Amino acid sequence: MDAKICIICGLILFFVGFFALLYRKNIIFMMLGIEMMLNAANLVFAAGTQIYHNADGQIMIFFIMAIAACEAAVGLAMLIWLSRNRKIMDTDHLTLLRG
Amino acid sequence: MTIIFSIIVFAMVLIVGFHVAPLMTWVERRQCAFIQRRVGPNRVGIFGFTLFGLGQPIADAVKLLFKEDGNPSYVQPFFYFIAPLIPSVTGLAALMVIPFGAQDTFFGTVFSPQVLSVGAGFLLFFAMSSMSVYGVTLAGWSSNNKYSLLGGLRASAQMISYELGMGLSLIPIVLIYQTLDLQQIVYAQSHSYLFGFLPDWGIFRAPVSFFIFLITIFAETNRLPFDLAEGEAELIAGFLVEYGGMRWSLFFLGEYAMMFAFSGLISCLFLGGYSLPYLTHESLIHIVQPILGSFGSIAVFLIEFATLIVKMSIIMLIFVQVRFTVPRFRYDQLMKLGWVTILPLALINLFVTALVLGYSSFK
Amino acid sequence: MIMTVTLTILCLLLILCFVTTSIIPTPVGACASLIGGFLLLSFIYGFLGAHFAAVIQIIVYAGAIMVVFVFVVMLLNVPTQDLPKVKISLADILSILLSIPVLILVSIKILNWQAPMIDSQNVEMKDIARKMFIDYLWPFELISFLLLTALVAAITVAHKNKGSRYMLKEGSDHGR
Repeated sequence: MDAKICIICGLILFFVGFFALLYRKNIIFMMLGIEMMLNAANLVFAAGTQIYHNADGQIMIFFIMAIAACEAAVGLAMLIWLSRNRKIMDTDHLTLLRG
Repeated sequence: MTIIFSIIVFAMVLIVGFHVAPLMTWVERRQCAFIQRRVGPNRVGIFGFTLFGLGQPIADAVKLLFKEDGNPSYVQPFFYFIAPLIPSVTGLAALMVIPFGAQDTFFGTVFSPQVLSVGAGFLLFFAMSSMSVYGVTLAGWSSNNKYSLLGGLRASAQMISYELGMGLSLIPIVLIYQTLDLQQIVYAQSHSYLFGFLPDWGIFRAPVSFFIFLITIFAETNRLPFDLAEGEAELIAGFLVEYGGMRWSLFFLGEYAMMFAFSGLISCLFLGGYSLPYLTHESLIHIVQPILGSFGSIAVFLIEFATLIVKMSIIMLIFVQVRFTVPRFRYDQLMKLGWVTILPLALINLFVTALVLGYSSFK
Repeated sequence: MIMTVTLTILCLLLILCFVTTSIIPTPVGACASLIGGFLLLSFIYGFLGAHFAAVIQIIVYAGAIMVVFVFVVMLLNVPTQDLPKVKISLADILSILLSIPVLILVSIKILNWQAPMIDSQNVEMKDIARKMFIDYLWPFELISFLLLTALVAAITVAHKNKGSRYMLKEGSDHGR
């Protein structure tokens, strides 16, 4: 029962992160939405450790965290480049590829 | 009954943690004075009893309590309020994983003098030291002051750079003692002997780890020679410039509590923890039992507690001694040391330890 | 029973923290509430028996990744975002209304699912390490390579370089 509550909570958190990603214009806030979605997935894996009493859930959490770290680093580096060279931080102004 | 014992241990650890900061201010000023061939504060007393100037911290605490709690109007309200709490809370929480004695049964109930004993062991320590970075960062930013912002960001960059070296230098210890639990590590250190006569302490098994860890904890707690963040208060401004009175002292409570916790960690990992060099817990009980009967466990616990406090105090004295001996690093020298010297050294140490352990277990 | 109630309260607080992150206009406030959410999440992992995950959540996520976010926010002076929309359009209402039945249906499916009864033994750190280096060795090495690549990429992109070809120069044509 504990694990099921956590899985449902993870579902709701995923939706919250998804809406944050869609409705925010600034890149930092969108990246926070992505982090929320990744954490929702982590919560579901942790609920899996409660059910299956396995080491697999925590290993997947470890891998997802490593991927989130890489993606945050690269995304923030791109944000720094953008804000330093183009003075852009909103995605509304990134229109170079608009056809 | 176990719950009552746990609460007693928790209260003891908290009380010890809270009293480190005033005592350390006194120790610093007296030791600084002795190093500089002068006397230091020895005049403040209660009713004429000046015991080596121990009245000074009491006077300082009273003064800080009665100072005006300035609420400047130009600071970010919520973060200005929260920033002093973060170093204090994490510093005191880091003390909770240190074992202050061996687990024993006292009148039938199990008494374990370690407040938090989870499978993750001393990784909780790193969690607390990672969270203490936010105190410095938020304090610098919420002061709405360019100099304190830069000081705070530099200090937090320094802290997270040295966290890498800290973690990597402790992996050989985990490889040697095969466990993350501090109780188990202290047990292993007191119950076996190297070469027949040396106690199996971490400092003899992994000396390079000890030196790297000692250097990195100076950087983690913003102590000289790595205290560019605080030392800037003497030059331009540090991240503490907008804080006065009790808020300022909360920062130092946190810093000294974190120093104390790191001393505890070094003692448990490298210096044998609460155990005296050639006596194990069982032999101590064996000695004390005929004299005190069933109160022998409590007596042994007090002996072990005192041993650990003595070892932690030695490391704290090393902290203070280094502060008044070595000049301060420049910021680029500091970052270069962390990334170019300490990190490769820790990696090579880990590699060599793994090779030696693998070879000796393969034979 | 107490565990379930505590876990429910923690999950509700966690949802509140994450919703605050989505709504709050200041960037530092959003990061701070996300850090609070991560601390709660670590607490929940501890409740679920995932002790290793709880500790590395604080060390890695709240203590390293979010520090980098907070650094970037403070150094770049990310502007306070205006509240997104004052008038709510049909698309917003429809999206939220359509997501609620999805949530409810999936929740009902989850609640009716029979969890397999596996005998409970505590997962020790040694089991995790054993599994990581024996069963999951290949993903582990690939992740280390990925981290190295991300490190090189981040340094290359964010490096202060005067001769960058894609910088906007006043009065010159772009990209050359």
